[in-house]
This record gives sequence, structure tokens and C-alpha cells, in this order.
Amino acid sequence: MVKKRLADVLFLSVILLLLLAGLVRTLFFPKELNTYENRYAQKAPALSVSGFLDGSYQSDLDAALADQVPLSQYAKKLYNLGTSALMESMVLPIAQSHPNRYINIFGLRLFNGTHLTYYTNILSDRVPGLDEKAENYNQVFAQHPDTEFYVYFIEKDTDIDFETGEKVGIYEYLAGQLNLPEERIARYRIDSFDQFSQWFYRTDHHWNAQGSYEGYLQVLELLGVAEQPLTHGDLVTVSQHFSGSKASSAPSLYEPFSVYPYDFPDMDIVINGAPAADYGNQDAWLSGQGTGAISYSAFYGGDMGEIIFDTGTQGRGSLLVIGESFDNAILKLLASHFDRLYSIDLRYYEAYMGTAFSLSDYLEQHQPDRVLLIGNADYFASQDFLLED
Amino acid sequence: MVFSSLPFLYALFPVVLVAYFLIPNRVWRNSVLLVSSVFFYAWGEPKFVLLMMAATLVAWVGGLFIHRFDSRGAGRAKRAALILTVCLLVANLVIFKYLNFVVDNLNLLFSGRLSIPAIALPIGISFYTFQILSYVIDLYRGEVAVQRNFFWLALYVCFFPQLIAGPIVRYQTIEHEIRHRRETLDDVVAGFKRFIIGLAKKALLANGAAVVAELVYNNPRDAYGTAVYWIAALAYTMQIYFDFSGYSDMAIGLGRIFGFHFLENFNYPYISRSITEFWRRWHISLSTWFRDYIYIPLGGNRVRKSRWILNILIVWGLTGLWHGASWNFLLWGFYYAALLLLEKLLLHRLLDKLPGLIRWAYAFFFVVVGWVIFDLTDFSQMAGALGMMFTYHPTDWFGAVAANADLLWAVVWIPLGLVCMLPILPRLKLPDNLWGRSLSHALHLALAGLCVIVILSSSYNPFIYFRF
Repeated sequence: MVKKRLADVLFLSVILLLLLAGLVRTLFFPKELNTYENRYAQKAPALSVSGFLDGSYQSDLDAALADQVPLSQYAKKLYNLGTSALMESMVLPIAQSHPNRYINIFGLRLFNGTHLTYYTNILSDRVPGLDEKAENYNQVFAQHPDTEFYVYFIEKDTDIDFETGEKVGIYEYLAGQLNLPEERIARYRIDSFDQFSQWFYRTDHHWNAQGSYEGYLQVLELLGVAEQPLTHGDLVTVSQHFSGSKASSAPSLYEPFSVYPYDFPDMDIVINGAPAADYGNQDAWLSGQGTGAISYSAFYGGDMGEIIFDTGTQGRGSLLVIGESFDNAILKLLASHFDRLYSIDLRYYEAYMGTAFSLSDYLEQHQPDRVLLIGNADYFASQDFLLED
Repeated sequence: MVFSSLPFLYALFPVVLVAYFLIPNRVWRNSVLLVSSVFFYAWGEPKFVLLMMAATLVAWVGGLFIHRFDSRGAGRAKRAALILTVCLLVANLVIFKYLNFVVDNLNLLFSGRLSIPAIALPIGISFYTFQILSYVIDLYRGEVAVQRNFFWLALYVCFFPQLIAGPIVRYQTIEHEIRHRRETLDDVVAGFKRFIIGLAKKALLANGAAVVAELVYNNPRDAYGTAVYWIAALAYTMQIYFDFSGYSDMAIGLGRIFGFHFLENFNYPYISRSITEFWRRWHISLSTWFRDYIYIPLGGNRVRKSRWILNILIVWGLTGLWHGASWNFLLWGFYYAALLLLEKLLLHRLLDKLPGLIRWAYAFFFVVVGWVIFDLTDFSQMAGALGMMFTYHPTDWFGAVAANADLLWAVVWIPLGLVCMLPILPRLKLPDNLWGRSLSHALHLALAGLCVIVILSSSYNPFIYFRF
């Protein structure tokens, strides 16, 4: 009888301790980061009458508890892993028996039973953003007639319906709006699923090793670089468990992360104003020293406000690349062909450099010979990437 | 605030538990429950706390008058006090729940332009109004003693376990326990276990099934065929049962932790072999309320047949409307009135002769169809869904899955729901020794852990019965 009572007391104590631990942690020992969701953790709000009456206190406390309750991140991870594995086990047999078809899943579309893809763009939805960007660019081109501007548009899954093969036409629309000579505009063309599957990851939105190398070759051609491109070694798989950005809510989906090794020339690198040993961790991963979870940015390098690559050579000119994360994989490749390469990501420049980006000032300060605007449809239609002159 | 929310589980609940059991005094313990109940209600509806307290005040004052007139033998005055109190309480309910509906329909009927401000529906108003009415009417009938202490009456009305989604606890059920209950270790353990079972019903089964039902009903009608519409109806059948009975389990469990013993609200309704039996097992506190306070006072079945039929129609019309100010709820009520009349007048002898499985299939079929009427407030959507169910439209299975793979959750949740709706758990009794008890504790802890994982991870968490 006494032992049974003890079991009861133990049962109640465990429950009470778990519940109280959540409250104590939230109120008195909150953590700063939610590493699983890659953001700052929400903390308990201060109680106020107005906050309580308008409901903001309630929703903020709810969000704080979701972040601060002990093991909450493991719980979310476990939940996502379990539900996605279960869903995957049900969907994959169906998907594989219906090749070349989309299945809406995890807020995305699974195509061919192999690739998570975004929804195809609708041109009319993008036109206002494209028009605004084209106007912005045309003003910049006009204000800097002595600078050579180049545009490289990267097509991806949003630019084509793989079931019908129909293209959205964003590139054609944009190219028709820009006041640039034809030879200074090019695109990374995706015309079929076969091509897409060869050049893109199954679970991530970026181009893969083969795709990025192809992009590098095409950019060299666009820029008219006469030098021979760098050659790559054999494909090396640095991890079998790469779960990319598209699989954030479906971590049971993963694929190998394979890369090309390159023999880069020596270069000095400055990231966000501070000298850096390297950009990205290619050597570390290739030598088996990579730490943490493998990702596109963990290998090639993350999004930075400014990166300057200086090869120490003379007479090969300099290039300013204004782009987004797609270019991360080819920055070092491109830098190998110039004296200096400047890379700007307009989303992060002000945050990292402490001042807003001004193209005129930057051109005056660094005197790059050429400016490359490189990105996918989101880059060319989004206000985040407007150029302030 | 709802029980399956993080602020309840990780803030209010542990704080109330600690405060409650640290205080030895009954009056202070009740005060803890009252304050926490008001806070619980105010969490979602700060301003409507005043409305609930005003309704309680009306019942308290009305109760004092009824008692005073009763003790003086003033029968007419006592009756007048009752009528006035009931009218005030019902008027409160009508204004806040039905006035917009009435005005909209009057305008529609007479092409009028009567305009009133949109009135927000206070959470749980139907539940607490019916609780208060039971106190006043039972007091009038002499079945309970007058509660002279306003705060104890307020504790009865707004006691957080049953406040916003029932069960409709009658005053006589907890009259004695408000002042004289005893909390025991056995009750606390049993209460926690009941709470965990309810939480699992809500967080795992109901929310899981909800994904399927909502997916189908939120898509264009031609996206799916007949089979998928039946799957959606089944999914909603599971969802509403596990949602509502889960909430009742949590309420009963919480009450028990604090020494209150509420009556059962569900008794495995989906095993019923007739509609009559279904309503003896589904939302028992509501059906018995209507039986005791409406049906029997109208004369019940001890009247001539036409009057009895009218009584049935009145009770079920009101039952439907209690669930919401919408025509589909009224239709749903009359649907059950028709089925019950059919059973009582024609089918009962036939049903008695049929095998149990056929009788179950008959009852379950009509219950499932009933939930479609209940779920879809838009008549064209309801007619469309019923049309899809009863006229054959082939299903493009790949197309249905391709449109949204979440439909496949039906494969998981509907069979699991069908199993869990059966009275299997009570039959799986573990031995009452140390190991049996420890294993039971461990299983409940594991289930609680699973619920917390889902609650932490899932943003989908509405309680269907909130709107009633």
C-alpha cells in the first residue's frame, strides 16, 4: 500500500515538476536563441493591462512558452521528423507510381516522387514587382553610363510547370524591360525536369554542384572572360544526410550532399569589413573536418553584407556582384578570374556594414569595371533588392 | 484559454495546483479557484467577465428572492421571481447569441433595413447560462438550498474546468462539494489520468481528423468524388467526438483533482444501436438538461400524441439552436426530432429484431450524415456535400492526393478513431498492484509527453465547442 502511494506521489511529482519547469524557465531563465527555427527565442512579455485587454500579452506568452519550455526544440524536431516520415511513407509509393506529376505536400509540391518544388510563378502576379525593378535598374544604368552592367537571371522550379512543360516567361518579360544590350543579359535556362533534376537539389532551393558550375561557366561567357575556367575534380559526397531548405518541415527527406573540389588560387578575403581566412568551409568539409549539419551555406558560405576577394593580381579588372544566395556557390570561382571581386547582398549590407548601400558611392570608392546583377525571379521582382543610388 | 494551450498547461495549471494545495483552508482554496477561474475566462474574453458576473448576480439575487418568498409561503411572488430571473438570463443569452441572427433574418424576410451593431459571442455563454438556469429552477423546485454567498455561487458558475465547454454541471451535483469536499490522493491521480486521456483525444485524435475534414470541405466541390466526401464526413464524426468528449474528460479530470465529482458527459456514443440510445450517450448533460427543464415541464410523453410530437419538435429545435444561431443547427435539431419520432413510432419493433451490427450501422450512418448538416453552416455547401455523398461521383484518387497529400492522414486518423471510439480502454485493466499501477502511470506520462510534443509543434488548436 505504501509503495503504491509512493508510485502515485512520484507520478504526480513528475508531472508537476515538468509543468513548473516550463514556467520557471520562461520567467526566470529564458534562452536567447531558438536554434532549431534559426531565430531569436521569444521571451515572456511584461504584463500590462492594455496588453492583456487587447490580447497581445496572451499571444506573446503563448509564443514565449513555445520557445522556452524545456526540450521544446527537440519536441518540434521529433514531431516534424515523425509526421514527415509517416507522410513520406504514404506518399512516396503513390508519387513513384505517377512519374512526372506534382503532389502538394508540406506546403510545397513533390514532383516525380523525388524533388520538392515550389509552386510555379504566375507572370501577372510578378509583373508589378518586375516593372518596379526594371525602372530602378534602368535609372541606375542611365546614371552610370561608363559602368558595364550585366544581368544574369537564374531560372528554377518556379519558372516552369514541369507537368506541362510550359514556361512562365519572367525572364523574357524582364529582358524586354531592361535598357541593356542583348549580349549583357543572359539566363540560366531550365526547360525540363530532367535539366532541373540534374542541376538542383531535391530538398533545397539552390543549384547543386553541377548546376552552380554550369552557372559559373555561363557567367564567364556573359562577362566575356577570356581566361580558361577553373576545372573541377571528381564529385565528392561530403554527407549522405543533407536536408535542404525545402525540407524544413519534412526533415525525414534527405539526400547526399555532393560537391566538386576546386583548386582555387590564393586570395585575401574580407567579410563585412573584417579579414577572413576563407569564405565558406569547402576545405574543411572536403577533408572530413566539417562540423554541424551540412547545408549549402555551411559549405559554400552564407549570405553576407559585403565580401571582397582580392587575388593580388593586376590587369584582370574587378567585378562587383550584387546578388543573393545563389551566387554564394560561385563567388570564389568568379573571383579567380579578377584582381578583385566585390560581392554585395542588399538584404544584409546595412545590418553588417552599419550604413545603407549606395551604388554611386560604392562605384566611386572601388571603381569596379563591371557590375553583375545575378539572382532568381524573387531577386528580380522583390523590393528587398532595389538599388539605392 | 483552452486546456490544450501552453499558457494553461505551463502557467495557470501549475500555479493553481501549487497555490491550491499549499493552502489548508477551504475558504481560501475556493478563493484560489474563483480567482483563477475568472483569470481563465478573462484570458480570452476580458470584457465578458463582467457579463458572466452580471448573469451570476441576477441568479444570486433571484435565488434570494425565490427563497424569501418560499419561506413566507408567497407562491405567486416566488413564481414571479423565478419567471423574472429566467427571463433576464434567457434575454441575456438571446441578445448575445441570437439577436444578430434574428435581425438578419427579419431583414431578409421583410426586406427591412433594421440595423444593430454586430454583437460578439461571449465564450461559453450557452454553458454557463444553462448552469445558472438549473440553479434557479432547482431552487424554485426545492431541490437545492439557496446559496447566500455570492462568491460560492460565482465559483459554481465560472469554475474553470467546466466553464467554457461543459459539461453542464448542475448546482445540485456540486452543491455539497463547494464547501465540504475532500481532496484525496486517489482522486488527484485519477483526475490527472483523466485529464491526460482527454488531452490526448483532443491534441492527437481530434486535431488529426480535423485536417482531413477541413481539407475536403475547404476545397471546391468537384475536387473530390463521393468516396472522399464520405471520408470527410467520417473524419468530422471523429473530430467532433474526440474534441468534445476530450474536453469533457479534461473538465471531469480537473474537477476531480480539486475534489469535485462531475457527472459523465459521454458514454461511447458511437457504439449506439439506435438514435435514441445515441442521445443517451452523447452530451448527456445537455440532453438531460433539456429533458428535465423543457421536455418534462411541457408534459413529456404523457400527453396526447400530437402534443407529444410538438414537444419533441420544440425540444429538438431548441437543442439545435442551442448549438448556434444558424439555420443548419435548427435543421440538425429537426433532423434528430424526425429520426427519434420515426424510431419511436415505427422502427422500434423492427430494430429490436435486427442483428446488433445492422442496428449499429443504421444508427452510425444517420449520426455521420447528421454531422455533415451540423458542420456546414452554409446551406449550399451542405447541400453540395450531401449531394456528393448520395449521388455517385467517381474519385480520381491520385488527383485527390495530388491536390493535397494531407488527405492521406485519413488513413491514419480514421481507423485509429474508429478503434478509440470503442470501449476498449476500460477493458484493459492493469492489476492493482505496484507494477500495474507503475505501468499505468508510465503509460499516462508517455501519452502526456506525446500530447505536449504535438501541442508544442502544432499551431492548429481550436476547440470546436468554443462557439457554443
